[in-house]
Amino acid sequence: MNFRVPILTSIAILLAATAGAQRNFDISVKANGPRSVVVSWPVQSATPVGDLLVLPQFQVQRSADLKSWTPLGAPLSGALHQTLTLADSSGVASFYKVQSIISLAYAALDNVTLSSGQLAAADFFGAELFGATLNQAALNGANLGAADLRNASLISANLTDASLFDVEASGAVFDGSVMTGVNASFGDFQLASFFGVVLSNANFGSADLTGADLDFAVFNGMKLDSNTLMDPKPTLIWQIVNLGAPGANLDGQDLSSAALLGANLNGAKLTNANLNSSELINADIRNANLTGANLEYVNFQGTLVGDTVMDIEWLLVWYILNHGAPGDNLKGTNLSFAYLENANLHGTMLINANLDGTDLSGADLRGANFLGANMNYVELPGSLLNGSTVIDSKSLLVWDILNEGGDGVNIAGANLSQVYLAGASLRESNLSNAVCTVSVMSDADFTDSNLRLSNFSGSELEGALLVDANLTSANFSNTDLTDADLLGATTNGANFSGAIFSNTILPDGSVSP
Amino acid sequence: MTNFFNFENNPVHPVALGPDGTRLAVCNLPDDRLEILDVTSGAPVSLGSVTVGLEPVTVRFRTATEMWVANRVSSSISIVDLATMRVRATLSVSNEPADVVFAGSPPLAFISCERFGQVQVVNPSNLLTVTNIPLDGKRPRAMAVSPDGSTVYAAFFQSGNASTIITTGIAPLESLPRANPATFPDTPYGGTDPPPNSGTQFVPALNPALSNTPAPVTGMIVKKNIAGRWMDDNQGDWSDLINGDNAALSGRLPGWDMPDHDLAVINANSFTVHYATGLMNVCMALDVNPVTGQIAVVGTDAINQIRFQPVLDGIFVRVEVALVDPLALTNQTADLNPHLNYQTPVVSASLRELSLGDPRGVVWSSNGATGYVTGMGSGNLITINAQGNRLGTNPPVALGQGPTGMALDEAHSRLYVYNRFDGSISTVNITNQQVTATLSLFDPTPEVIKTGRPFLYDTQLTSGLGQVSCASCHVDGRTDGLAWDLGDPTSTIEIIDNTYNFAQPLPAVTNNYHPMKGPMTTLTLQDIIGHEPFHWRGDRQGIEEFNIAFTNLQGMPNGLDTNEMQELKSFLGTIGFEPNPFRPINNSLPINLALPGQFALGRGALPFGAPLPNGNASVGLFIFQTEQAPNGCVLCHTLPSGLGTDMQFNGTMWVQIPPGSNSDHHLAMVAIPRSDNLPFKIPQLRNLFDKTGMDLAHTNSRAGFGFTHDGGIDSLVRFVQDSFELTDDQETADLVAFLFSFSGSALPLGSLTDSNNAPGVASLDTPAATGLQITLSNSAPSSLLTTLISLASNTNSQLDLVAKGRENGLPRGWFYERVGAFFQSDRLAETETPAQLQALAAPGSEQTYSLVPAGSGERIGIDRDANGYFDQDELDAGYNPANPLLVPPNPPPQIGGITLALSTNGVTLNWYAVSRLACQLQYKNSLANPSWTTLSTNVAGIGPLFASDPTRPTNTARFYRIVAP
Repeated sequence: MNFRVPILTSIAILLAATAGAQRNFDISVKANGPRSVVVSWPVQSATPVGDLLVLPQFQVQRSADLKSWTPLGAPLSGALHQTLTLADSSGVASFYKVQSIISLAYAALDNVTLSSGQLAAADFFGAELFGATLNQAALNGANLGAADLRNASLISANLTDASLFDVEASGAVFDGSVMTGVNASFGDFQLASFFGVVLSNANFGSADLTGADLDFAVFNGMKLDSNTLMDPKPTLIWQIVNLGAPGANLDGQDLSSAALLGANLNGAKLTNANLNSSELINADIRNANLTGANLEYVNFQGTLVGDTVMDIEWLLVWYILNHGAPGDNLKGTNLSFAYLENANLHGTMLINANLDGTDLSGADLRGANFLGANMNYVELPGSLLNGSTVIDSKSLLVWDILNEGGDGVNIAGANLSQVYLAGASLRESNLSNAVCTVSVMSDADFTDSNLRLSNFSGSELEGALLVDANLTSANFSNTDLTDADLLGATTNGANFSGAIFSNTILPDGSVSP
Repeated sequence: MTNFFNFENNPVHPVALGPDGTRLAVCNLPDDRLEILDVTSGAPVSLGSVTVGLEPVTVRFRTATEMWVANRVSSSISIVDLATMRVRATLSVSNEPADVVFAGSPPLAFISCERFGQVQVVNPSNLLTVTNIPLDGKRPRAMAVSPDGSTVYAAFFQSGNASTIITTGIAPLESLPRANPATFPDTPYGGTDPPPNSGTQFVPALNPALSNTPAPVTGMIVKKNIAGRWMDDNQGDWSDLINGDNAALSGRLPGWDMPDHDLAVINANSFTVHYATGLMNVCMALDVNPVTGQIAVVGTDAINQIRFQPVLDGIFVRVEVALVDPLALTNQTADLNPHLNYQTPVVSASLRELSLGDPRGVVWSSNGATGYVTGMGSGNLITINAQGNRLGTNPPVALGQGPTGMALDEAHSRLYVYNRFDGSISTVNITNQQVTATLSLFDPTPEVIKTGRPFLYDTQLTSGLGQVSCASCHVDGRTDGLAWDLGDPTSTIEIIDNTYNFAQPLPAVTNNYHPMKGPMTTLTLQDIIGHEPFHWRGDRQGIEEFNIAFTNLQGMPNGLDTNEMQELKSFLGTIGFEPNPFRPINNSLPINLALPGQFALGRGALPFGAPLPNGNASVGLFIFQTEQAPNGCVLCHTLPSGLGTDMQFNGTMWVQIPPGSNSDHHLAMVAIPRSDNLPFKIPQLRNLFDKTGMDLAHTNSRAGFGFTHDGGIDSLVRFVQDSFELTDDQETADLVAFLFSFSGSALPLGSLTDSNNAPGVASLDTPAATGLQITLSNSAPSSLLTTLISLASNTNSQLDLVAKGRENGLPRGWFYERVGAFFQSDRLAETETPAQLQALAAPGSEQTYSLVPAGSGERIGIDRDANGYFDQDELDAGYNPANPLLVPPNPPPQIGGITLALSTNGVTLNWYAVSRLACQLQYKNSLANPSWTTLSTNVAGIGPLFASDPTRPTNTARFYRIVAP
């Protein structure tokens, strides 16, 4: 926060402080005599309540021109909620700001929680953060060099321009984090997870990424060197993204779940390649041959297509995604397993179309006609429907649950077989006697719900919450309950034959191996 | 089973002159006795000896009539009455006592106890422990007292030299190693690894044939210089990575340091401790100059920060004396071999003769002007002046083999020196520096040991400069606690072929042995023969391949010939492990073992730095067998040694791999990702507790090297947690407790048919109770004695029980015969039950019971010279029980007193056997029949034996005989 005080007037103005990226706090600058001011601010933790308490030091800085800043006095520290003050009697008209300083180099912080912490530019050099949780923490510019981050969780953390030099981070989880400009050279990231991480301009020279999960990681501009260790698949993806692969022979290659943003694949031979779920956003596949390639869930937004050899169905997907198909007649077309998020299908005729597993998240389906269409496992979160949309009742119910909310609904006996309800919230709902077989319900929330006599046989329930749910006589045979939580659930007479229990919290609170 | 177990310990202060100058006490280490000699005539004359504990290493006179003897393996102090030449009391002390001095007001006994690094202070009047003074240094050994008796000095035998390693740490088995800090760009060589050792070049130059095969990335040894900077051998300053802001890059903390304590200075009254630092890495002996008060410490200092075998050839250790100022604790150091310039690895024989090696004794004259220093490795004696400089240019005084401690008798211008290796006492005239007498003590050391020892210790025989030997690093057949980079830039790649036994398929060709192998910690020589190949990498298939070390590392002109190498091999094959200090006396695994110095790393419930809970080694064994189930650690580390198996699995069962042409075995090796797929021999695990002391988690580290091949892992806690991803603190404590308790055998053996649990090789070690002693002065029941008897009674026991005491005024000995559960005395005809024997105990006739290695009990207890004729019988007949060649003319028969008894149950023959002969009872029905029929085979024992013929002969006669084939 910058504040300039004319010396001859006494003004007290409270302004929001955004020094660095620390948690916001207010600073006050008040005149204290004709040639003196007092800067004051409250001491706040850099981390939210429930996390490890981290009280920064504070450095007041002064500037005459908002460009060049000079420290004023020594760094100050205080107790939580204490108001710190610093007087400046220089008599010079100045702007003031207060910078938070977090210095935890070499600290022993194993297994601590620093989630959502405002830790920008913090010094964690050499710190022991084994098993620590730093999800969603602001760590931009932080120094984590030589730190022990083994098994730590930094999901969705902001690590822009942070230093991870020589970090020990095997088994760490960085999913969804931003690592633009990170210096991770010489770091050990064996078996770490970088799902969807932005690695643009990150330096991983001489780093070890053996066995790391790099699905959907953005490699554009990521720096490697000859000593970097990375598995063959991500190495290939990195090469394609950064060096281009025009005319390359990529026959049969596994390029699934890859972020091929802007990749130059002009004229490439991608026959029989696996591009399942890959992102070809702005990629150039003109003149490429994708005969036999697996293009399920490929994101074709902005993809350059021209003289591309590709099954007609995927060309159609490309067209819909990039141009929309409002009002078009797409009767009987096969759009199964297509990525059509946010597609414009306003008023489109999709009678008898095959939409098995199609991702219509966010799509405009108002006025569309799905009469007779195969709607199994269609993904509908965020999609738009209206009274003119012609859609079967089951799919409409799914849409309702996902978009209008399913908490407290009474859908006893409902047919929810072969649907996609991942992440759905059905807390305190009545699904007794419901048929939910062979559905995708990962991470769905059935807390306190009545599932008596329901049938979930064959469904995916990974990570689902069934806390305190009534599962009496329910059929959960052959379900996948990996990471699911059944704490307190009533399971009298329930059928779990063939079900997968892995890291599942059982009704008595114990955890399955 | 032999009658001599070789622990290969060496004396500390083995000679003491009584206050009146007439009596000399000498520790006869191999004979477990204290020799008492009369020196009034000029040459020592034996007055007799007293059996003390196992491996007496020090004797001191507390008074004119009382001597205290430190028994290293027994972990006891024998308090000996001079007048009656008897042990009047035995004091159990902390593990591995080395020296004892008396100081303070009133005088207390200060006992250095090596294993746990402490000085135990005992009140001599009641033998109660006053306090234990923990010392910050490894293996406090030799001690001395200031002239005013107010200060005690203790020298650390394995003090280190402020050298340490910069390396990667350890990864899980299937993970690749982390980046080595030596490869980082902001380091002295910009990430080049290995860095050059002479400016920008390698000296000697790299073999051009290696240009296409880069050396493996290895660590760097650095050493703290006088300015406190951590330097390599090419003036590269690594301080920033050791104790600077970037210390975390080497796994350390800013401010990390090795205080390098070499000498503890203990106030004998307040028990406060200060330290003198920076002397040398093996502080062997010390004495206080009576005039200046300076403490002279002699020993050796290694230059292990210097890389490469060709550079170190012949010069890798200096023999030094450090004079420490008693107030400022500063020191000045002098080379005790100033005639050497260390520019070449070999000098002329005449120069070599001047060299002093392995200095184990130092004593000052009363005027402080002359110091006498013995060289156990060089077999000689030199003199120094008050400034530590050698006096005179004549060759040193040649003594016996292995001179160690001394006693100076200025009144008679004599110096008495105990020669450890040939078991003799040299008397030196200090005026003309001539040896005037040599007295040989009785030495039961087997010839195989005596013959082979010189090749380990003799510095003049086995080095080009005369001052180093194998024992310079393999100190006392063990280790110096350091790592060395003995790579050779001039050498070639060594191909790994199918003669190597890999637990996994043969590694790729590129994983052959590169000569630039990097730092490796010195390995112990205990129990190595039969457990080939050697070295961390297994790159030496047998001891025979070490001749190159004699010629190319020690500068020995011609190396060993075939016979000499065999003699060395045979000697090394005798060296075994001492009893495990962590196991209880019944040799089981401890279930509640305190783990001082082991602390949590913060990954479990305990915060970082919290002391680990006590460990249950029995649970630890289970973890060892099942961690990363179903294989566990035993997949590679077989029990009871921890070594790999020397078998291969053929799909159905384990089959012994035939030994090689030199009887060399083929113990298993591995090449795993953690070691960058480089080949390593599966190491043994019996001396892990010797490697503690390094500490990367705090700023004060006692040692610079710890675990794994380069010593880069500071603690077993870190090793097990980083290697096997253990986080639970109790599990960690349990496994660490087991690893500390590893030696001592009595562990589950492998299976011939289980591919995941191979049979292991046997371990040459001793049970935990070995050496345990008790002295009784009455017949009151003693639970400890009951325990000793119980431990010796098991038919499979690895322990014998002996007793020493007096009967009718005579010193007597007994041996516990487990078959009959009685004590056989040193007179064949006399035996006692335990109760009968103990009934003889009384003040003035105390009895000392000792557990000794199985097979040695008869020798120690009742037959000193092991010639089959008991000691008192020989004395009664006027013969010397310490001379195996002379026996009484009418000796008692070895088998005698045969009687026959006939009963309804058949015929029973009784006889009396002297030595452990396997007898057979045979019969025939006619003397004309040439053949005898054997009824009972292998009836062995000592004392009364019997065998029966249950059949009733129908013949009129049957003839019996007892045969000892």
